[in-house]
Amino acid sequence: MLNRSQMSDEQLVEAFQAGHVAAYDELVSRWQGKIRGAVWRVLGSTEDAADITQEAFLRAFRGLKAFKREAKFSSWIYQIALNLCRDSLRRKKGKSYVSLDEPEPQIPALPSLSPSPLELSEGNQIAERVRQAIQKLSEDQREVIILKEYEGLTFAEIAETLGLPTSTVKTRLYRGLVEMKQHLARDGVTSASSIHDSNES
Amino acid sequence: MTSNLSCEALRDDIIALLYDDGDHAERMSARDHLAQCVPCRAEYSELKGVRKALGGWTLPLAQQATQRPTRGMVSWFPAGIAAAAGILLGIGVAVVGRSTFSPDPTQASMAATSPSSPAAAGQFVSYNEMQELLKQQDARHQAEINELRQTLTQVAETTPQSSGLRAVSNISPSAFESLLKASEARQARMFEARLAGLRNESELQRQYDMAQIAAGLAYIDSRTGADAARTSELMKNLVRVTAKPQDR
Repeated sequence: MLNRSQMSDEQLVEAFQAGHVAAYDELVSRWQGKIRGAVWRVLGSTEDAADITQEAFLRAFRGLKAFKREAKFSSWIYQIALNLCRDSLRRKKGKSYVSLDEPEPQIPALPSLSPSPLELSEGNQIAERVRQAIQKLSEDQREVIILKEYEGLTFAEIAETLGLPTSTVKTRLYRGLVEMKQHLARDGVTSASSIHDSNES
Repeated sequence: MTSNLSCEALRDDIIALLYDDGDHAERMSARDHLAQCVPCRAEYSELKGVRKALGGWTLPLAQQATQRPTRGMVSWFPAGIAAAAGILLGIGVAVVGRSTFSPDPTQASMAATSPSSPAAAGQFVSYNEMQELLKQQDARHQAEINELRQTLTQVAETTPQSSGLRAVSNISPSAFESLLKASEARQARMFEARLAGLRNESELQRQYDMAQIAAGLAYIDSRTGADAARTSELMKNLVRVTAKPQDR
């Protein structure tokens, strides 16, 4: 008999559906870190990421008996988590009247104060600007970019997760990247030098 | 020269090449196109630059810590449930005390998943087996409760009302002491483990903070240097402008 950690997701799902409840434990330990990371990137909050990841795995647990093994478990769990993220963003939008899809209204700039040491590190600055630029993208583009760039899913897996044709995935990815380029260039992140660097590499 | 129309049509292929994903043919056609189309080549380079910048957004330390794979179903159960279960188990052990069932507090829980059972051996337990084990455990608990009730009733009947407390303190002092010692040892172990975890966390946080401060100081240093150079330049200009014409 195979050790649980040697089994594929499909085999674990099959085992769960055959009544081996403990197979779900392996699926959780295998995927919860990735899902939590993706949710954190979409929502930008560690607390919400923990709650939504937990909720996603609870929903998956309830639905796994009826899960049709035509789709991959990973695509399915990403799908559940992203749906929960969308609900959460919608609820927040309703409460605060602030849209993450649209750029925030420009507030006249105040004379800059000395940044805190935390803000000073260059890596942190870039990370923060990238985070802000991603938050300015539309939900559709943001999801595709996160799934591709940070989760390393293939076009086909993203298409399966989001229920879209692969051509739409590529188009959203292209548009998202172009928009990111504009936001980052405005913030001075993708400077001529960094682009030059990437040419050379 | 390639028309804009074909550039548009080849965007998907260029994305496939950018991520090294999709059909080989798509990537080849993108490569061919880039070889002849200067604007697309420039855009491709820019998109690579964007990808490089995107790589700079890493998960924060706290998030990375939570990404470590955890074992066991308990890992995704709310911590409160686990704590409540622990308290209930502790109360149960204390109440059962020196009854005839199990002097060893771990024995009751061990019985449910005895080494011979598939769960203890790390194999799968089927849903039906699990139900069966739960039923057995439930029956055992029920029997223990009934027996405890009987003992209490008997003691109450045979003891005068004024010494009702004696029923509760039916446990011998030595047994009571050993229970207390076991409980204290358990608490101390838990406390030590938690303390070690906190020490580890605070050390990690300290290292992270030190790195942030070092980076901040380096930035301030470079800024101060630039400011000093600028001031010196300005002073030179000022001296030059205010100098008498014959001194120039």
